[in-house]
Amino acid sequence: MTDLHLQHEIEQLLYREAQALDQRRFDDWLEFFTKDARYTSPIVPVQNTPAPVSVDRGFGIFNDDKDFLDKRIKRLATDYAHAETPPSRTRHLLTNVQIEEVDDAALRARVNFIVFQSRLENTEAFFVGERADRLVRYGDHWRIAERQILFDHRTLPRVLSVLF
Amino acid sequence: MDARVDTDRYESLVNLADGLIGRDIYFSQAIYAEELSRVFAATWVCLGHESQIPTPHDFFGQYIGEDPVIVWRDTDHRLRVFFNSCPHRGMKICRQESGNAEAFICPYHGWTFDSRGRLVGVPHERLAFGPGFDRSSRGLLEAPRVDSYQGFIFASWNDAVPSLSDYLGPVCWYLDILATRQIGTLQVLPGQQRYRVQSNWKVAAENFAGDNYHTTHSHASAFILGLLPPNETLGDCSVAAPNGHGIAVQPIPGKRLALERVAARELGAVAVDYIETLHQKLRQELSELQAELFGLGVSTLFPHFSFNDFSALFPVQLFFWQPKGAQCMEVWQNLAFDSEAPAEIRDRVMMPFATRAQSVSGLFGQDDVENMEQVTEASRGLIARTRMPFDYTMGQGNEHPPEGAQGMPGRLGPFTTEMNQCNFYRYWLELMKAPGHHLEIS
Repeated sequence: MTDLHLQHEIEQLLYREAQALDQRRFDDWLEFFTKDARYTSPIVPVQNTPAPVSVDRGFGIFNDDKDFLDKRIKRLATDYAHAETPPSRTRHLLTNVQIEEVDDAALRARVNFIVFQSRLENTEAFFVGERADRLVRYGDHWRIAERQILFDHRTLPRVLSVLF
Repeated sequence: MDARVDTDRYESLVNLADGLIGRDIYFSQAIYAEELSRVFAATWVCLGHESQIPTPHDFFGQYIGEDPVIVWRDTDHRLRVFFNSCPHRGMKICRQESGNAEAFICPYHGWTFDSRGRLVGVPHERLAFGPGFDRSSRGLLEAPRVDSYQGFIFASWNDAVPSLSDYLGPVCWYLDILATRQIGTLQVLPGQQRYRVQSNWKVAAENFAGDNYHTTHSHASAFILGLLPPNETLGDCSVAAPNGHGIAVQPIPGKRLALERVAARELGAVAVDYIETLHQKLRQELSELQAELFGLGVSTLFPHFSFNDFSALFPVQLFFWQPKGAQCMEVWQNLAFDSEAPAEIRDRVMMPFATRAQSVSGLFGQDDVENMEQVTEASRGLIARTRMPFDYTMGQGNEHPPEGAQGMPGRLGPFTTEMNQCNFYRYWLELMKAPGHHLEIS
């Protein structure tokens, strides 16, 4: 059974990270990731035996590294991030936090999410899915080394100008 | 309510002489309903690529207008396109997006259809229908015209549509470059992005047909971050073809090849060798001019299929702007690449960037969609419909192609012009005014 203290620690970390996104403190948000972090979201086709398509051999929804996440953040600071100007309002709701494969140096955290986006006057979308993170320990804190986002949508309700 | 629209009205809405197009053609539900019949049911519609269904019984699901279809390779390797709905009571018989099936069994009553569309199984046939039940008249409805050009699959509900190569006309010459510029063959990769956009399909299709003008401003963030080379290196001219097709961001011969060589040198010997091999192949199999041209720009094949081809070191991106009402579309998007490209190039260079650029989460995709949706938001009201047509005058009186573009087929124009958009709507108008081909609702 997962140590209660560890469960609490990871949950609080993920909530703080989500809050950084919702408060648009994107530089702070980047700090939650390791330098070599991967941030991916595979497509799952509609099939009788559904299986995610590897982003390394096909098209994905996200296929970022830390450098590109940094570019996404830098883009928002230009005057030309039209899709986020004026900024969207977002709310990240995280539930069902499960900690797995714990050892001294790393663990896996799985959460369900609903992300609500409200944009301009009347554009709204809910994005629903599951996130699987791998976190690694740096001294007394944890960093996200891998994040895989699995959307439950086959057809996404709109373009993704927000982060998950 | 009578949804028919007086054909004279299309003439006044699409006023190409003055470069003015009324916003109703994008956002009116009545015109949209006419368009499904007069455009989507009357002409060729691109559905995908043969590499998606290489072997017998492979299939994928698609749409022609709002009608679901199955694109299916039959037992004899022939491409067939069927209405994806049981002729008995209408259930969708194929609900997977792709796969391999010798037959589809309708989930409702169990009617079974083979890959030639024949009804081959009827549960309790004698008991239910008695003797003399005619299976042969109850097969799947098949699109009468199906053809492919350089692997791109097209279908039409219109028996009388001209041949596909006539329809594509000068575009064939350009598609030949794309198809030949592969060590193996152009192959659609696994994974199709799908997302909804609250705008009319034409707003996207016309952008990809010719809008070289938006890039520097709409995508300015990508230039600032160094994700795009300087705009003046991207392309030199626009190419318009009959039947509404347009190629935008088209470099003149020699220019693309020079840029490919620079990019390849940065990547190393494998990439340099790859580019030179492709160039030699183009010279041997096509013309010197095609080899020097080396690639296409951003293209729309009328009505709703677009692709871009920025580099041999980058996947070709395919876009289907699926109509879902006058003010809504779904974007279905694929990547395609050389089946025999060196793994080093295939794995490391292009795949991540394709997702990061013109894609549902990509930096270009986001900003394009913001434009499409807010154009729609601003165009629903009275003033938009009555007082403020869209302005397509750019390039009128200045339609000279740049130096060095001579010899390329199609009608050549400058880089920054709305020639291709007007060309798109010229054919759209022709179809909407010609009642000869369209399907009437009975």
